[in-house]
Amino acid sequence: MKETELDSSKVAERSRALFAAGRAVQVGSDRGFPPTPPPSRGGPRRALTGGALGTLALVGWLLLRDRPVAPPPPPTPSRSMSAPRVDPPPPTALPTELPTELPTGSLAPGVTRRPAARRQLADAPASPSLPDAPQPGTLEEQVRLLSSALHALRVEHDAAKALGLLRESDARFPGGEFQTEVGLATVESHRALGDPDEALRALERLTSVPPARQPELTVLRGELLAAMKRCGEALPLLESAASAGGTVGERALLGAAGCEETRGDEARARVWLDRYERTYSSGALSGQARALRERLGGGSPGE
Amino acid sequence: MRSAAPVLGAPASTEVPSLAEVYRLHAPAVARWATRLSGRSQDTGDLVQDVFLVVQRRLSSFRPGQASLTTWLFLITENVVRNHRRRTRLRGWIFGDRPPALERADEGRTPAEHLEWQRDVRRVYQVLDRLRESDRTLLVLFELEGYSGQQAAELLGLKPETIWVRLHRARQRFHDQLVALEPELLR
Repeated sequence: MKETELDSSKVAERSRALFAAGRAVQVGSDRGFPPTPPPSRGGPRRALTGGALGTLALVGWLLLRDRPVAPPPPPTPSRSMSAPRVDPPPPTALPTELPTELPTGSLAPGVTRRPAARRQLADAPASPSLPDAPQPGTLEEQVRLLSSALHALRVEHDAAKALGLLRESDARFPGGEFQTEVGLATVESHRALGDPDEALRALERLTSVPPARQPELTVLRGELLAAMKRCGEALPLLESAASAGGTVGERALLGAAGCEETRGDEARARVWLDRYERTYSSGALSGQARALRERLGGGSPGE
Repeated sequence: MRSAAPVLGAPASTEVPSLAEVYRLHAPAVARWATRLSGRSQDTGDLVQDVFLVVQRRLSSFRPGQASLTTWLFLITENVVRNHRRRTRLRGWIFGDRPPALERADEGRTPAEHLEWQRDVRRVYQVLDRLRESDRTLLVLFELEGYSGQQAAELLGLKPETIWVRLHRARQRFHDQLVALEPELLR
C-alpha cells in the first residue's frame, strides 16, 4: 500500500512539474500582442496555403489510410464556429451530472483503468494508479460546500453565510481538491463584508495558488490595501498588475486611479483614468470609471 | 466597495461591437488562448489572424444576448486551433515531427535546464493530445492559463460545480495517460 501511495505521489508530482513547464511558455500578450490588425479575407498567400494543405491532406490520406496513426480526435461537441452558442447547462445535482465515459487511449501494461465516474463516486475504492483521488463521497461534498458558498456570496449576497460554509469546507477538507477556490472565495467574502483587513489575512494564507494566477492575486492584494487606505503599498502592486491586460489590467488601472484620488493627487488619478479609458472604454468597470471621472471633474481624454 | 471581483470582463452590452473594438479589446486574450491551446508559440500570429477572419465574417450574426462575446470568441479560437492541430498532425505524418520552437517567459536558465523544460512542455502537450477535447481544453485553461473555476465556467458557458467535477476527472485522465507514456512512474 505504501508503495502505491509513493507511486501515486510520483505521478501527481510529475503532473505538477509538467503543468508548471507548460505555464512557462511565453504566450501572445507576454510579447506585446496584438501585432497587426486583422486583414481583409482571402489573399494569394492564404489561397496558396489552403491549396497546398488540401493537397497534403489528400496525399497524407492516401499514404496513411491503412497505417495505424495517432488516435483521432474524439467527436466534438455540437458547438460550431458558424453558430456559436453556449452549451445548455447540465443538470445541477450530483452525481447525476458526472461524466460516465471511460478515458480514451490505451494504458500501460499493469495500469488499471479508472472505473466509470458514477460508479467510482458511488462505491468503488480509489484506483491505485490514480494519485490524489479523494475518498468516495468527499468530492461531491467539497463541490456542494463550495457551490453553496459561492451561491450565497454571489446570488444571495449573503457573505456571512458564505463564510460559514467556507469555514466548514476548510475544517472538513484541509488541503482539499478546491483549496485555492475556497481560499479565494474566503477573501471575497471578507471583502464583501467590508473587512479588508481580514480579507488580506486570508489572502496571505493562500499557499497553493498556481503561478499563472499570481497577477490576479497581485491586483487583489493591491485593491485590499487601497481599501485600507494603504496606497503607498497598494500602488506598486497595482502598477505592476496594470500591464497584465484583461480583467486584471482593467482592475489595476482603475484601482490605481482610485488610490491616487484617495491620496489627493488628482492629476495622477486622471493619468491612470486616461489610460483606463484608452484601453477599456467599454470594459466591465467602465461605469465605475465614469463615476470617478465625474468626481475628479474634467472631460474624458477624447473630449 | 465592490462585493465580488469581476471575472473575464466582457462588456454586458446589447450592441454588436465593431471588429476594430473586438480586436483591440480581445486580441491579447485570443493570442493567449491560441498559444496555450496549440502549444506552439510560433503559430500564434497565424492563429489569431485566422480567428479574426472568422470574427470578421460572423460578427454581424453575433447576438450579445445569447452568449458573452468572450465565450463566443473562445469557441471560435478553440475551433480554429483544433483545425490547425489537425493540419499540423498531418504535416507531422508526412514530413516527420517538427518540434515546436518554444519560447520561455522567464529567463536566466542554463541550456540544460532549457532543454529539460522543452522536453517537459512537449510531454505535457503529448499527454493533453491523448485526452478528449473537452478535458484538454479545461486543463489548458485551468492548469496552464491559470483560470479559476468561475472564469473557466463563464468562458465555457458551464456551471462552476460542473467545471470542478469535470476538472477532477480530467486530471485523473491526464494522470492515466501520463502513466501510459511514462510507466516508470509506477515502478
